Amino acid sequence: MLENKTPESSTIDQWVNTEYTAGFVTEIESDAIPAGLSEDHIRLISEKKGEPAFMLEWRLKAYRHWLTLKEPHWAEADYPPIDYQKIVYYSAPKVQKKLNSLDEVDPELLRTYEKLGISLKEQERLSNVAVDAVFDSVSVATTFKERLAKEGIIFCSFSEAVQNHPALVQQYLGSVVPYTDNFFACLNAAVFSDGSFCYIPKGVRCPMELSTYFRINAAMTGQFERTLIIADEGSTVSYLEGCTAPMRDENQLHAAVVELVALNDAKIRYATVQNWYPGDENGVGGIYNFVTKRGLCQGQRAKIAWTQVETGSAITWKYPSVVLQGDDSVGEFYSVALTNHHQQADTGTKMIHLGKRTRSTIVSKGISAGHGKNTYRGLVKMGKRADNARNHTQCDSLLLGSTCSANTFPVIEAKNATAMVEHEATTAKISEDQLFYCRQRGIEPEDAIHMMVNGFCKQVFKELPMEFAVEAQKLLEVSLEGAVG
Amino acid sequence: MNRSQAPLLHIESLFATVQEKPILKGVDLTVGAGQVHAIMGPNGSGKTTLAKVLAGHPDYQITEGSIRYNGHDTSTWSPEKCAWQGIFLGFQYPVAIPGVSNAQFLRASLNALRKRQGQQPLDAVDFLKITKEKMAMLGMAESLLTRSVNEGFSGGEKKRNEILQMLLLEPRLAILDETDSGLDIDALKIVAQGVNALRNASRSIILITHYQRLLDYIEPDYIHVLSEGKIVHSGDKLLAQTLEAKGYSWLSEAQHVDG
Amino acid sequence: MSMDEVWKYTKIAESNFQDYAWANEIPLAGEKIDWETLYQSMLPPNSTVFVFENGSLVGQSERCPAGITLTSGELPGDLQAYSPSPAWLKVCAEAALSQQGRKWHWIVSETRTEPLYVLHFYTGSRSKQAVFARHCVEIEKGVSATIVEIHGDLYDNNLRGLCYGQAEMRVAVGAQVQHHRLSLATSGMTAIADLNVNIHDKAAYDLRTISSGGKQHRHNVILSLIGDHAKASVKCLHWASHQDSLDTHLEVQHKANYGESDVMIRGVAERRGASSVTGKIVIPEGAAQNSAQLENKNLLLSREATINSRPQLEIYHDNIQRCTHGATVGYLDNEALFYLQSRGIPVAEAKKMLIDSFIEPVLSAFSPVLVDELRAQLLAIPVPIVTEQSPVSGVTESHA
Repeated sequence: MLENKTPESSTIDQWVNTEYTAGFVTEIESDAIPAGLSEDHIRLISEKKGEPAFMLEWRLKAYRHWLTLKEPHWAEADYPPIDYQKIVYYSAPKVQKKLNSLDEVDPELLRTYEKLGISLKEQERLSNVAVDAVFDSVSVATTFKERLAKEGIIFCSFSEAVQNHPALVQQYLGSVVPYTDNFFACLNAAVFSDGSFCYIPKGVRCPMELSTYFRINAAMTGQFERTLIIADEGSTVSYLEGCTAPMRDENQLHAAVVELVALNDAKIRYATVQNWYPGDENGVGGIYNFVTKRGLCQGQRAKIAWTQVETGSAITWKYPSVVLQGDDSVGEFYSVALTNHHQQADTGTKMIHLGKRTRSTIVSKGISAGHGKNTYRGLVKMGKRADNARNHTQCDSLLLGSTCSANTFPVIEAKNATAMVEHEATTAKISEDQLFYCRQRGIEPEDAIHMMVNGFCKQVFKELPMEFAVEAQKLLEVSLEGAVG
Repeated sequence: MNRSQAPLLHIESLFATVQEKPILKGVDLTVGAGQVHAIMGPNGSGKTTLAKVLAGHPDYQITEGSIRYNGHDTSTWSPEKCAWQGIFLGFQYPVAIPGVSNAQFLRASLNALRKRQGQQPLDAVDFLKITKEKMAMLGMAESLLTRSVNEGFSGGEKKRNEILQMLLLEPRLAILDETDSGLDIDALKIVAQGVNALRNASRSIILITHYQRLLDYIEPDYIHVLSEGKIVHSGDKLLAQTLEAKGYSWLSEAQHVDG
Repeated sequence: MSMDEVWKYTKIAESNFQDYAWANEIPLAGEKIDWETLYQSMLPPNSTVFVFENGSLVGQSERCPAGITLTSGELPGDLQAYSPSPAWLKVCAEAALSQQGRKWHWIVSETRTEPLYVLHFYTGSRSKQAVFARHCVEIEKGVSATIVEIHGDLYDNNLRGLCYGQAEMRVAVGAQVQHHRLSLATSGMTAIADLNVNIHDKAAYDLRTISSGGKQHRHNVILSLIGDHAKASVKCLHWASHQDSLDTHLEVQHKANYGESDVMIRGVAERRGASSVTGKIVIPEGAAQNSAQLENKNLLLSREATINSRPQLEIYHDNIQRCTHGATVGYLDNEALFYLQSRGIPVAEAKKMLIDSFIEPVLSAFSPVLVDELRAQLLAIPVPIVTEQSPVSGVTESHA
């Protein structure tokens, strides 16, 4: 019972400090290539994966382009230079042969996912979520394959897709995020080792949530996965992505690319709960999360919705975007980003309105605590042909403490007089008055803060699938612990 | 000492400061179980400070004197402990909490108290049943449950919401800080009805008010006048009428003559 | 923000101005102008007025006003260091101004009830002339004053020109300043202006600006609330027509405690005009209990016009009162238009009323003598009805 009337932690500064529960290392033999980056390394990756020629060619083109690029430093983030020659670009758990079922997966790996609360076996039996688990660089298991196949849905690792569906891969790979897009996307194109691939055929409503779970395990390894989702005409899919990594003192690089393509009347919902290791309270270690995510509403009335809850990583740069090309297409972005300790998050979205009557909604909730730095960066562009397009942006920051910071940098570029853009931003804190009111009603300060923080994020949580919303809420509480008292 | 015979609240020469500024300068007050006391007084006399000190507000420091509540010294209690021990403060300006629904807040509060009293938490169904009954009694629209706590509430809605919380939490000592201010006569009657419904032999109520008006509907056992941080006059319910007729200045003059 | 970002919507590369002559001649190979007649026609009778032509003082009302001193020479302080203008431009200005001794130092030491008018004209009949001006204004402790600046060039529309004005103002403890600035540029003019203001304890600074015209018309404003309880209020209007590009970059720095700022910027873009606004509020560590708001509303009135808006917040702790920003871009409110029409008001008239109500909050701060004609001009422009069109052939936008 809290006997202390004015707890020293009455200021919101002191509350941070729960162990990162996903921070263990799995002892498993891995097959890695030497650190460093060269054309030879890339040939080796491609060879290990037995890729067709078009893939190697694409990788090499990307690599040659990457050599001409400079690492960007425009985001509101400070970090020491990354030595790209010290990174291991390919690491895979050693597997002897091709797996036919989960029973053949290394039990150590299955235990890893169980420890993380994602029991692949359990998933297969009970829940209605199909999981593709990516461990370091490669996909280790995909559940529910057969059931999905009955509907004609392809859900597999990227490597398998390259082998089994090369035409689809060749048609759509890089069509939304070309390798020339940016420094990290280009690096990814050159070295990416695996990821998830998903194709929903015409008119099919995917009967379950599809999910990829990313885990970085090996030390000094970069993770460069690539996800490609194609929703054919009239189809619907909801996709979940979760991420964790062990606690390590050095920073690890995660430079993923996600491409979504929605054709006429297709709907894609992509949700992320990102809990990469954020570093310790002094800012040592943690994942650099430099990710390119973009969806293309290629067809009319297509809809792409990004929902993200970001509580992890030392540094996050991430702008899940939607290109609204088809007339009447819809883009949505719902985000909660929390930074505590010395975390830096620079995140937001781009809504590029090209088609007529395209609509977009942006709801961004940033929470900064400790020495956390939270930046919203967004672009809403109304192209010349975007007649009667609409955007509404709501961008709120919640500040907890005297050393955190919140920045809001939206950009609006409008070239169409029939289009309408609205942007609102507010900055709030939890006041001592609110805290006292709750405490007077018998609610303990931590519970009161959780309640208010969850209230602040409610608009975003309600966009998440139910199980994920609960998980997100818990994650937020754990990540905030110690921030307030 | 037999606790049942001791007064519920005994305040002895209480001095308190906020941001090092002295506000209470020797308050003495004894409230017995089942009694209703009214505290009146001009603006800035320390009425709200007294209420906040009793509720354990961390910004208010007790520099001298003591508060004994139900036999305990409360000076080190956190606000939530005061609440768990049955002290309820009805706020003069209830604060808005955006994003947190009224229902969620009320249930969190009620279950926090139940937990300390060794009771099982109420589930959503039972909670709603009890709450809706009490809301009907106060003439509150049920839509107020789904709205954020006090956000965009009218003055009357906020005050009724305070009374609703009091009815749910069933405190032993309720301190109502200017609950009557900003209410029209119909709302005032409903609020009074709520307070009267709660009166019983073991529950005590302190009404802080500016006006006689409220006391027409909730009849106090005692009336005290607080001025410059001290209780300068105490009397029965007739005192309120004298104050209404003659104003507070009469007191200071009277004091002069007495002294 | 990198310099590329700061200058995203106005490009003033040094290479584009290399063949310009740094000249502050009076007149610049043009005719001599009768300033007295000119300003008497523009301003209320008996106004206190100073006229500068190409940076030099060329006229002054007869009454030498009490409580104002004006001298030329080296200026105190160095607020210019904070200006986001490119280094090469600052170097040019410094070189030109040092040679010509056209740095002006104002001290306002007594409260004035009547406005002080300061007129800046840029004249010339040659293309590719660059002129510079620099003013430092000190408003002393407790003084109230209204300063009305009018900037205009008397160029032919087919002439290119560059003018770069640097101004700094110190608003001392308890002083109250109303600063009005009207800047009209011709279509060949690149007009760059820096304004840096330091606002001390309990001082209040009100800025009202109207900018119109200009090939590139850029205003850099940095307001620093350096004293406790300082207040800043800003109301700006951009009117971008023809092929004008108007760009305001405004920063409000809350460097002390209990500061209050309120910024309203309205942009109108019609024909092929472009209006760009970057408005930034910064509340650094250690500045407690500040309250700030910024609003940027924009009207986009033609298919060829462009609006860019970047409202920004940078906040470094939670000890704030309140901090918000908002931005909108759109055509006239169709509901309002319909409402007016349903009351029998013809559509053209209804549009004018809506545009007038949009610009009114800024225009109302100015003396009617100054802005009535401008208002009439602005409202006279034909506003097309923009409705959905079939896709424009040939033009496709790339998203790569």
